[in-house]
Amino acid sequence: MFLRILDRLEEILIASLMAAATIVIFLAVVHRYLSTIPGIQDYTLRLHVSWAQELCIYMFVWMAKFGAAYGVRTGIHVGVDVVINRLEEKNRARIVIFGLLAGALFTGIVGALGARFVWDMAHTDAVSPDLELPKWIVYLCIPLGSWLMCFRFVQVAWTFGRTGKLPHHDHSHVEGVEEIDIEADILGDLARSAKTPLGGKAGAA
Amino acid sequence: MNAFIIFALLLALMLTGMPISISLGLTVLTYLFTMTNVPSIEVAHKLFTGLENFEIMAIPFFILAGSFLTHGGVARRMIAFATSVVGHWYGGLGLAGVMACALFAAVSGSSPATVVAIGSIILPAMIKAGYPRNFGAGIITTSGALGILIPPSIVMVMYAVATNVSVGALFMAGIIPGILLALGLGLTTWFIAWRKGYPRVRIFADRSGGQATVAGFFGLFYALVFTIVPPWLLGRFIGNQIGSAGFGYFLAGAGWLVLAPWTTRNKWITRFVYIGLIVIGVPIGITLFMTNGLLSGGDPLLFFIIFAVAWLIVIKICGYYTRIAPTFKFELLWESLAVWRAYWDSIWGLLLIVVVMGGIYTGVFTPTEAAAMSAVYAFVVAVFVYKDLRLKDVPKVLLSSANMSAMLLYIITNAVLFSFLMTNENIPQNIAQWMFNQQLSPWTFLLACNVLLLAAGNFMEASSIVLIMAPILFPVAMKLGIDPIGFGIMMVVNMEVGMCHPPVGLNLYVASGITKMGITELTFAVLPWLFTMLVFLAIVTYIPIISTWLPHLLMM
Repeated sequence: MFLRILDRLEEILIASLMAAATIVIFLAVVHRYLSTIPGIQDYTLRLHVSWAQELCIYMFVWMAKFGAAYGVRTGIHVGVDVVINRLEEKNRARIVIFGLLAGALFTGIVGALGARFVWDMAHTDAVSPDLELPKWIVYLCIPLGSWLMCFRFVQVAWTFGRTGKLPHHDHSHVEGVEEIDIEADILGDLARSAKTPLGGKAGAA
Repeated sequence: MNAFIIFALLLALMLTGMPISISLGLTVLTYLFTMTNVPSIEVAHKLFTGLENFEIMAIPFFILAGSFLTHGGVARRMIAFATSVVGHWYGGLGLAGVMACALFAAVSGSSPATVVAIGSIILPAMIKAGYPRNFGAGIITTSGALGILIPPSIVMVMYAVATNVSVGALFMAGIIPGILLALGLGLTTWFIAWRKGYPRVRIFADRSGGQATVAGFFGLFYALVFTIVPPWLLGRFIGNQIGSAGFGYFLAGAGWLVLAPWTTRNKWITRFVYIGLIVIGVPIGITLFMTNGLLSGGDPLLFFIIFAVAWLIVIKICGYYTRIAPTFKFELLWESLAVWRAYWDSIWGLLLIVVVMGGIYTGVFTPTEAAAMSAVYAFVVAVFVYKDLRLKDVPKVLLSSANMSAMLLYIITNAVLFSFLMTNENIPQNIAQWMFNQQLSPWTFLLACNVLLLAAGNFMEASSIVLIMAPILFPVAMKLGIDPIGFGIMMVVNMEVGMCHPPVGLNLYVASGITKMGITELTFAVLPWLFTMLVFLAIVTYIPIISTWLPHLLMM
């Protein structure tokens, strides 16, 4: 139960960071262009969006740290598996477990280093240049994301140990999105459209 | 010695099959803990600051845009457009596949995404039309690789981040090599299809290949003239009036886009445009061009009459031959009408090319902003214009793009950490110095680079190779006086080759997922196109002017 909530939270967090960052940059660009038009610029110049870039970077860094943890669960982090796939099953399993635990070790250490770094930061009054957020909050994604990733590595290793299954990412479709009509009749459509003359009610667009 | 330890450790860790990002990071940690006294807290700091670069953020945006386009029906319309233009030749659907890949590559920055988008639609269609399975699979696997050569390109952003070369200049540099490679792959396709007698696409059973070709090209020509010339003239006029050229073009373009579908519903407006732009406009354009250049000083009126008569004869002959324009009572008929319709149907996808490249070139956007704009644009087109993506599927697309981008960003983070270690130990400088002392000529250095990169392509995936190799090879290339942009394009083409052959060719795995063909079978299927790519690689390596000409011309 707790795990399922964690999974959902992780997914919601990274998807909304992705959307938010896109919208922020889009609005910043629109704002910049409105500010060159006389008449509108009087209003837009009162708003400052100089922090947009910084916010976008922070959002993406957070997305990267938590998304990397999600990626462990979905098996998107690829490695060089040419060699180990030629080993016999038992040795391969051992090396896979070793690889996963090494991942857990690395992310665990990084998380600890990050935590110490954040702790040090929290005792200074350093703020980010544009947003003026306390730096330690910004850097908090390193320990949190890394430890979550560490947990995911252990989780995957545990599942692998019990069932022998590794998560595998499939590039050719998005989970849950209905496939577009792959039987689309391209040639038929072309012929049909070319037989409707210009003019009349059949529009071109 | 230090370099040897680092690389041995990295190689050993990588061979255990752990994610490349983790093996990079662990190498750094192990080395820092045991051999140096760099404060380890520095590592945590680098993990954040490594990503604190606005240029890197183009990567998630381009991935998001690509996802929307893949699922939003843009690919299907581009395929229909490509089929209507080049489908009349031998191996028609195959050629359409190459062209559609090139078009999609111009809006998407990743190769596997291009393979998925185009392949999952055109491969079933090809099998249904009676082409052998390995023919289609070979085309799509290799043409999909155009995704990282034709801008925008994620691998180019990686190279730019690793070497501090301008992303915009790299994008511009990719255009000409991308078109050349697409032509090369198309030629290979055509040749194989011609030798083996693979079917053409026949929209109308009773028309010959020649008629179809001329009519198709005429349709394309008409469509391009119709969409480019009026907003261009109008934009210049408005721009002069309000004193802002960019905004003038924007207004004219947007206005024309809204009006154009309406104008084509009326037969008389179509005829007016035909006579104004094609019958009279072309000779006027040629006259203006010639009297300003080659034939300056001559009598413009005389030239105009000569060109107009010659042009009329050409139109007349083509019209009689193809039966599309027998008199001045002009109408788009047969294939030219098919091209016209398919063109308007895919215009929203094609416009994205203009938004991204035009935006970067004119300096309206930085590459990262262009990427964000294209993501928003692709979302609007997929959900509201083509309506092939339902609003409730959008979170899933967001999640899968976030997943993919986080993976790439995580590799970048650790690669930055790794290159921090390397610079700390002066390794790139030492290697550069050593190579320089060997009296290496640029020629042999480039050969060595190609061999090294092709070999690396057997083990690692493109982004990791660029991030690890570029910081090492780049300083040497600079010392030998090799152009940084040409070098980047060479690396990208190398990565393309690596994506199309086993054991780790990502395109190959994606294509195998779509076609349900085994990797071995697929490996043989791609050989003719892979060979074309290798020849192209040699050309790009030793004739760098192909890539550097355009960015230098545009003064970037």
